[in-house]
Amino acid sequence: MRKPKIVTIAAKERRHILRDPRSLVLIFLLPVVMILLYGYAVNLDLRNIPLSVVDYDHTSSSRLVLERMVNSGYFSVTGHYGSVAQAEPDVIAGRSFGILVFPVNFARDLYRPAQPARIQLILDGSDANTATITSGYFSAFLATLNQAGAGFSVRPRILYNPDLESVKFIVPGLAGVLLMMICALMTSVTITREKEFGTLELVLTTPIQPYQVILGKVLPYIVIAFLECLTIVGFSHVWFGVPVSGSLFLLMGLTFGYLFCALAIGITISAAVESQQVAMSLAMVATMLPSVMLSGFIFPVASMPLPLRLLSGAIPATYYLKIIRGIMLKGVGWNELWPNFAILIGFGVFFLLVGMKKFKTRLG
Amino acid sequence: MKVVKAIIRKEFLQVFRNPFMLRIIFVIPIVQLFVLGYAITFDITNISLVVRDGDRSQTSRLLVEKIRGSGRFRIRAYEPDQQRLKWYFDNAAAQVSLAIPRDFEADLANGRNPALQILVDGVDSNTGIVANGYIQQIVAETMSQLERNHPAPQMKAPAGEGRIEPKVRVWYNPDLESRNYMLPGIVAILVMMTTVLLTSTGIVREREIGTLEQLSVTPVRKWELLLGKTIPFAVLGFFLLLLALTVVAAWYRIPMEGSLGLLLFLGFLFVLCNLSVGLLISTLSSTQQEAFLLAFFFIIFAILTSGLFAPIHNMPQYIQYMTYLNPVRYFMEVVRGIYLKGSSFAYLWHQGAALLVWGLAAFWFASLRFRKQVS
Amino acid sequence: MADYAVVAEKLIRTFGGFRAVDGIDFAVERGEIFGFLGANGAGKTTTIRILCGLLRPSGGRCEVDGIDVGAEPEKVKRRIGYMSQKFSLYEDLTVAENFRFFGGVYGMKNGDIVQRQMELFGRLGLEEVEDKMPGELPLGWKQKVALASAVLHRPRIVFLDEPTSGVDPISRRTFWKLIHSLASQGTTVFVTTHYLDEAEYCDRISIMEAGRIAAVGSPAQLKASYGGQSVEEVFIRLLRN
Repeated sequence: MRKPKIVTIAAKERRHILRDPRSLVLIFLLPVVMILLYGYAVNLDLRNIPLSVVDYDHTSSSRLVLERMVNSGYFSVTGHYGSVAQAEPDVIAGRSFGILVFPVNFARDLYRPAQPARIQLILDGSDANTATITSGYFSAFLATLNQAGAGFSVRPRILYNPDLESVKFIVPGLAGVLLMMICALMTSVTITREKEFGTLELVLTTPIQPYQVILGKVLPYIVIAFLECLTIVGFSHVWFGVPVSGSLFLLMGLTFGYLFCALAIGITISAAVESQQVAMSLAMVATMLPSVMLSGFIFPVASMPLPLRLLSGAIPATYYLKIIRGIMLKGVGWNELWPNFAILIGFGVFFLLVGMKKFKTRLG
Repeated sequence: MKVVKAIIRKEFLQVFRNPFMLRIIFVIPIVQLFVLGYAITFDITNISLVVRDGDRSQTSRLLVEKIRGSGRFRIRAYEPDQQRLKWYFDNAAAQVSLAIPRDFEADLANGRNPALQILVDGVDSNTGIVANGYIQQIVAETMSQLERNHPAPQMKAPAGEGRIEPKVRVWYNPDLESRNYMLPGIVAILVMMTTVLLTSTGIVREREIGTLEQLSVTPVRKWELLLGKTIPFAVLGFFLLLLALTVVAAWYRIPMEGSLGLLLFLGFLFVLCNLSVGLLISTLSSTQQEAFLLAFFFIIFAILTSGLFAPIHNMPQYIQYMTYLNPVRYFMEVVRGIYLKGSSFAYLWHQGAALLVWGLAAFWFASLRFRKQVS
Repeated sequence: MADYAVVAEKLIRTFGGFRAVDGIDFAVERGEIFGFLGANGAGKTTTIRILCGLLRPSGGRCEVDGIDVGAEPEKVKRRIGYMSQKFSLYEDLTVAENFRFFGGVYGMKNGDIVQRQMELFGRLGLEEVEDKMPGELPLGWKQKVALASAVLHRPRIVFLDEPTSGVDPISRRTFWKLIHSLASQGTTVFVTTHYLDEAEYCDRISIMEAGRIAAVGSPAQLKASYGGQSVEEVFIRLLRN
């Protein structure tokens, strides 16, 4: 039986890929390095937030509250100062992130039920992110303290990520961003490269159909992308303990929908441009940037203004992030995730049709 | 110099002839600037909340009202079934849930210490923490207000511990407007990305299409070629910087405490440094694809260790050493210093010096690596 | 030593274990049209690249215009012109812009470049395609543009690597007429080709085979030595041995 033409093209493409080992190394090294950097350098977890303390009260109550704060693990004390003015240089220099101030009548107010006692926290607002979160920690901490005498209690329970490690949040998102970019990039580059060298025209003079050429060229990259996904999941699991709570099999299956979408985008890009340089830049701009900014990868979409929230719905990565985070961190399954999959397939089909049509008009 | 001029002229011609490239150089970063200015928000609002009010008392309704009125939460649903709450989380329909048990009001009055149950989606840990903090704060404030208005006689009198209220004050950026802090940094990153990408494929491209060979046969000297390929992009990169700063000033109206002249001068050094790095990448690659991937690598590293998302002094020591190779690290200090603190040349000159030194070193390495010989 | 334009003495170039150029000797007189023939893969392009200073010799030496290329490649480049197999021109620059660019790179004054452009474009009939992109031109025209760019700085020696590959026979003949007029002005032309019939146009030829020079001489001499009516026959007889 004669080998189908698609396989022939795919085999040739594979030879091309293997002949460029450096690119291959970079493709697989990139996610590993990014995961490491995220895990160690950009650790958004806040522990031991350094605070300077100004205690105007000097009572056992103020000391007790301070002790409890430090014991919570969220705060640490960099120094005790006599006044806010004396503590300020530390904040300016970045040695401490804020100043905790116990007012003069702190202990006295504690015993007066009518008037609540106050603790002031002065924060370095230039890092708004840390400031917001520190404020959140502080409120939560005091709320816990308060419950002792409030007559009711609030029991918070953290689902899925009880230690609140941000690396578990970031890493699955990384997969979403990188996979999209690699697929779209590689696909658009490989087709455009043949255009640049004129060999695409050559192949098309043979009795082969354009769709066979394109699918054949794209096939090896699907394999690479799958391997990349496994690398990301595997490495983050082994190194950072990111769990795979759901079915790995299901994850791979649903990832296929995402890859299909990414490849379709790559094909559309290559149909529209003539040179590799433009293809690469366009691939990055059209896939990676929106995926990073608007998919919920780092920045919460809910907090964005409405137009951006709507835009987020047009980005494939948004849906894939729900899939991969759902499976890895929440352990959900097909029942919860199939709408996302369907949307990804829909996107993929749309781009594929657009891309193929553009190819036909270009060549026809 | 004539030779360098000829090369510069050619590069400009090539860039302007290619409409795509122009759009990518200027339009895309500016569009990003607009989008990112609104997308990069660390403010946590519009948190989707599911409420289960099992009590339906005046107290519980007041609680829910206060939460809704805070403007921070968006109540997605009122779920009657306790067991169903987790469903919302599994389907990413809600990030926080509040469950008020039956007889909450009654138990409160009788001193039976009822418990409110909060579930928080911990996947996005930051949002989770902040949301938890908000809810607890609102609950605490509501309940204490209730207590003051209608003191319940059988409430347990606090044995030495009364309520503590947090009073948070924010310095330097009272509205916690992340934009003032983030946008100058974003400008630095956008300029870096564009300039590095532009130059990283420059030399390899000529090698791949064969014109490098033709150039190699001429008496053109290495430094003339490298300089000729760098200068046009220095001009374009600097122009992009100007454009971005204009957007920041005119659209976002972010005030600049310090000197614009100093910013532009150091900005120019920054552009040159990035270009040298791009050039170095170009001489290290054998294909355009490789150059792009390598550039991308560098860009990611530069963004993550720039100090934009997390302060450098919080990073592990060995990573801190690596950041000395990151041009953005220096320029981040410059933009933030000039915008937010009004820093002067006396304070910032060593950032500029670092940029200059690193830029020259990268250029020098590039010229060492680059050979006019084909093989 | 007589003043030769190009000399090679036991020139060797290896790539890893493979000897692409295996100890060749030849000398080219000034003003000569020297044809460097051989099948594909015989080592012609490698030799030309060495002579142009693009590759370092692994052994032996060569001189171009009296300069040791292995020792001082950069010094040679001012005096030579080169036309590659791929006709390396910038696809996004017009013909005129390409020309002016290379003129600038050779450090020529603007006035000189303009004059040269008028001269060469006139002689080669390139005025009508001045403002076109190389990509739009048929191969025969691209070849003329490439040649113009190679000689614009009036080099004394010109290296042409397979300049007529893939070009139609009429354009090939026209091209060789141009080469002749170049040579008649005193320029030495070193040409590689795998079209054996073009050998007749050369003053002397050498035939390269598997890294070695199998024969050197004028077409007439070779036909006499090895027998045969055409260079092609000489070639076949040579290889049969």
